[in-house]
Amino acid sequence: MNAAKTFLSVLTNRYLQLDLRGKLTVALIGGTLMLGMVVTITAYVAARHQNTTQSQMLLEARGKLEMREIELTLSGMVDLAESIATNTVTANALADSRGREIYLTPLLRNQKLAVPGASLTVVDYRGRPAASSADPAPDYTRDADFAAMMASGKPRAGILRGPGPAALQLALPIRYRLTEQTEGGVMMRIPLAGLLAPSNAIDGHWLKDAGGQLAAGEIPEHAHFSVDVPLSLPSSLAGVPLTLSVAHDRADAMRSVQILMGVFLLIGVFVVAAVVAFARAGARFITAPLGDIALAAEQIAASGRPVARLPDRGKDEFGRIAVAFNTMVDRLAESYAELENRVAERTRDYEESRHEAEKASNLLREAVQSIALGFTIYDENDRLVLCNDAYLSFYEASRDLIVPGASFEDIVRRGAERGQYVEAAGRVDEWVAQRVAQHQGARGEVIEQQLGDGRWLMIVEHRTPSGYIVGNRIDITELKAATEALRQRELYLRATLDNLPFFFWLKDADSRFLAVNQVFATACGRSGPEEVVGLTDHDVWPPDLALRYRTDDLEVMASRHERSVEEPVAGGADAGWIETYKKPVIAPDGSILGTVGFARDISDRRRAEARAHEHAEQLNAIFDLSPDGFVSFDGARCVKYVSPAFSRLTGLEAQACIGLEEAVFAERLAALCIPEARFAGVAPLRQPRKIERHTPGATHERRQTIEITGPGRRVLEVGLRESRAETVSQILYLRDITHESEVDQLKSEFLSTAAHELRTPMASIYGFAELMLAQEFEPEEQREFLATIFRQSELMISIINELLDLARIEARRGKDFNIQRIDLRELLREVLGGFKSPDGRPSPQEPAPNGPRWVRGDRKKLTQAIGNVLSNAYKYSPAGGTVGIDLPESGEQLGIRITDHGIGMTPEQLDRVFERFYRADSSGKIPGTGLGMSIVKEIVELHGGHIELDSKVGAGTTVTIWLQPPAATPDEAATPPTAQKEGP
Amino acid sequence: MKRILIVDDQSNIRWMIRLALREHFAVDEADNPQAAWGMIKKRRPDGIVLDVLMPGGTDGFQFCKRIKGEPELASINIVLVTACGEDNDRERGRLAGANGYFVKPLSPLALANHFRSALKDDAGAPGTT
Repeated sequence: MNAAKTFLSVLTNRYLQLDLRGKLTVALIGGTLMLGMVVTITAYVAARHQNTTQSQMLLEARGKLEMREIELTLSGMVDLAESIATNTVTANALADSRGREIYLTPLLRNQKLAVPGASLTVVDYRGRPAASSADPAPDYTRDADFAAMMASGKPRAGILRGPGPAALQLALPIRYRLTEQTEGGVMMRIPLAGLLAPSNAIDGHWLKDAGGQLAAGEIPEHAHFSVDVPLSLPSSLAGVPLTLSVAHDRADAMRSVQILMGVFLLIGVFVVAAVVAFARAGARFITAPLGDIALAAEQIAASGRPVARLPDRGKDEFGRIAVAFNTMVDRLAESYAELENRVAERTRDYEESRHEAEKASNLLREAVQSIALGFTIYDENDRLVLCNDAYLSFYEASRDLIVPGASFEDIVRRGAERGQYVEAAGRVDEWVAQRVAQHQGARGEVIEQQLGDGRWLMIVEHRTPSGYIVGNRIDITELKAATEALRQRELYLRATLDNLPFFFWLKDADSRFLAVNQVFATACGRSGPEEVVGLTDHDVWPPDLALRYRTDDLEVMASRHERSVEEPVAGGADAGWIETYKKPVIAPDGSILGTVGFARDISDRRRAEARAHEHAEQLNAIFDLSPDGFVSFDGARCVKYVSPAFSRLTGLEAQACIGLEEAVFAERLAALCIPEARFAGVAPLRQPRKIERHTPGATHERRQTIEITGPGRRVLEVGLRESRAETVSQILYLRDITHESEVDQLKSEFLSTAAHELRTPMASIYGFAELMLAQEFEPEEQREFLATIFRQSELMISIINELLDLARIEARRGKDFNIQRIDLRELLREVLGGFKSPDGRPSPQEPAPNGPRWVRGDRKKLTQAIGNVLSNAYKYSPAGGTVGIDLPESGEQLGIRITDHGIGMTPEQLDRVFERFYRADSSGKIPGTGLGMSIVKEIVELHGGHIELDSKVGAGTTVTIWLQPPAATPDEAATPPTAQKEGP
Repeated sequence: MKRILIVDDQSNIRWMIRLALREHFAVDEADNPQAAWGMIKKRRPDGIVLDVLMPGGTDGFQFCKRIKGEPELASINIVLVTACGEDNDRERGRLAGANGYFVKPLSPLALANHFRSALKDDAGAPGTT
């Protein structure tokens, strides 16, 4: 109770605390909710009642319907049983066992009973079954109903409650018509459950007997509506009163009511929500004007000024209040504005005057601060009145000392003690005294002061008419540095000029020297440049030179172009040369300011050039004269020079080659070559041979051998020399080795032929010797073999001898000849004396004696030559015939002519006579080496003579050896022949 | 008895070779290619000893090639004899189809052995060296 009271008081309190809008809202919502609840409860009660009544009626209708169905089923079945019981045939059949089988059994078996599980049985008087619809037939011998029926002879009915489900049992008597004796009965058993039809609309149904005991079906567990309907049964079953009950589930019956309630609740919630919203809106609508008034009033109260107005609300009470309120506020505002205007005017006047004063003060301070100079004012007592930041920044170390009122001496002294001033170092007192005197003098003199941090200040101090000392300070550190740098630069410039190996000068437009260097000054005979500056050429040079220089200056200035000349110095070319360079000095505006020039001694260079020129001339002469060809290439590897010998060797003219690129030139040269020995280009010559690189010390150059078909077949060896000179990159040189290569080839051919010629006699010697060693032969045969071996050995010996002769003659080239004056006639006599003509052949016919025939010659060699020719004459006239000799003359030449009448030679054979190993006879019949005539030719030609041949096939051959006569000087003629002997 | 033709312009050499061969072979001789060709056609020798350097413009290589070019003569065993012992001469001999190549001075017995092994009695087939 107390709790409820407390709760109520709390609610009341809270309600009272709400504003007007809240209160209205709560009242509206509460009233509406209460009304809604009353309506809802009433509706629910009515609906429930209606529903219950309706359910009861429905149940009763259903119970009656089912009751009728059961009654109909039961009366049908009872009728069937009664018809069987009363039928005479049944009674008869019961007595006759055959009748049972024929009639009763099929009759009962074929009965379709309306209730499943029901049975119909005919029994005899003791209850034993005679026939039955059920199998096995039930036994009724101890059945109470049966016994009662038999005893009474009247139908009997009862409910059979056995161990199985309850059943309705009916016993009907069967009587013989004649005796009216009860002879048996018809027994029908109907299970009660089978009577209850399955029903889905009704939740439960069951049967009760007279005592209200459950007979069939089941009673539902939950609370139900239920209705009892008594069954009215046929007469034979009257003793068994049954009641049918039907039931309906309450929840099921009430479901529609519950759904209705649910819908009601849902609508209720929406209604409540709508009511709340409406209540709030309504409350707001009613309370809003009041709120506006309250707010306006609060604003006015808070600001103290009539600042708020109310909106127009129409003609209601609120509208009237608003109009009155606004009028009041307007009035208040007017008076308030007037008051404020007056205050503002006063305030503005005051502000303006204050601002003016401040501005003037600031102007003064800013002016002093904005001065980049350090600015100070000291009063007549030398105490600081004012200084600016620039001043403070100069004396960073004594910034704390510089305050208005401090004395100048104090500031300076203590600054000096802190190392502020460089000059004061080590003599503070002295310096301070001097500085203070200077300061108080304040005569406007310029003082330069170096600060401890290296900066420089310029100080100027003045005394004002009112006795104050005004000081200005400027930082001149950069100015000092720039001045120093300028001085340094001037020094460097001076040093550069003075140390140049040239004469240097700068003149104005009147040729007056503005600057010269030491070298120039010395050349003028002055001790230093400063002595020359301001002078003219006329003051320092002889008149003629001075005039020339002045003329040059004028020309250079007039032409506005520089000029460079090489000229001999005064005293002639032998004394040396100088090179002079002059250039006009042109101002940016284009006017001529003067001239600048330098000159240098180029005597050494001129001499070197002369030497180089001479050297080049020499080289050109060498190149021109050399039998080897040279081609030089310039830095870009284009042909620069071609020597005459090159043109001679290759047929390529210099004009056609000069300027050609290396590759094009190589192509030209290659085009002249035969394909087997073509020029492979310059590049292969350039690379050093790798194989020979390891060989130390030797410089190996690559060589190519090429063969040119141009003006005659030439074999050339080509080499390359690379140069490091700028103008000549490489030199190609070509050497004519045609002769060497021919000689090499001849040598090789000769060796091969000699070997071949030696093999032929060797074949016979070797072969016969082998045969003799291996086989037995007749003595005559053996002798013949030996003779052959001997002959072939002889041939070999002569070949070897003649080869050696030939080799010696060729090697010595006549140096071993014992040249004498020889009488050919006498020589011939000696030859013939030693010559043995073949067997049976006449000796050669000697010429008629006719005085001496002097020639120059080696007696032994000429004997050999003549002997060889004679020998051939006999050998090649195998058929015999005379061999004649005479001594012809032709001009100064003297000859020996040997004529045979042998086989002769064709012109082709004649051409090859002097070839080594060539033999006109190849049949082997004429012995010989093929070297004889080669030897003759060598000997004769080394004597300065020649051989003449004449031959005709079949007619014979004539060989003439022509020799030179001795020089017919008287000295020589007087000299004894042996005195001319030379060589070994 | 197998038949061998000796073609050489030097009688010494022909004689020497004949002496070496006569015991086992019937030997014919020719001193120039023309005579030799006639002999080959007429006698059909089984082997030929051919001098490479001969007068008359035909050299032994060409002659050898000519014989080997005739199908009915190709089986003749030809031995070239020459004073040229250079490697390229041997190669020429091989290309001409020669069965043997002897350089002067040659061993007549070795030559005879060559033919004896190349022309064995059963050898109707061309000899091999």
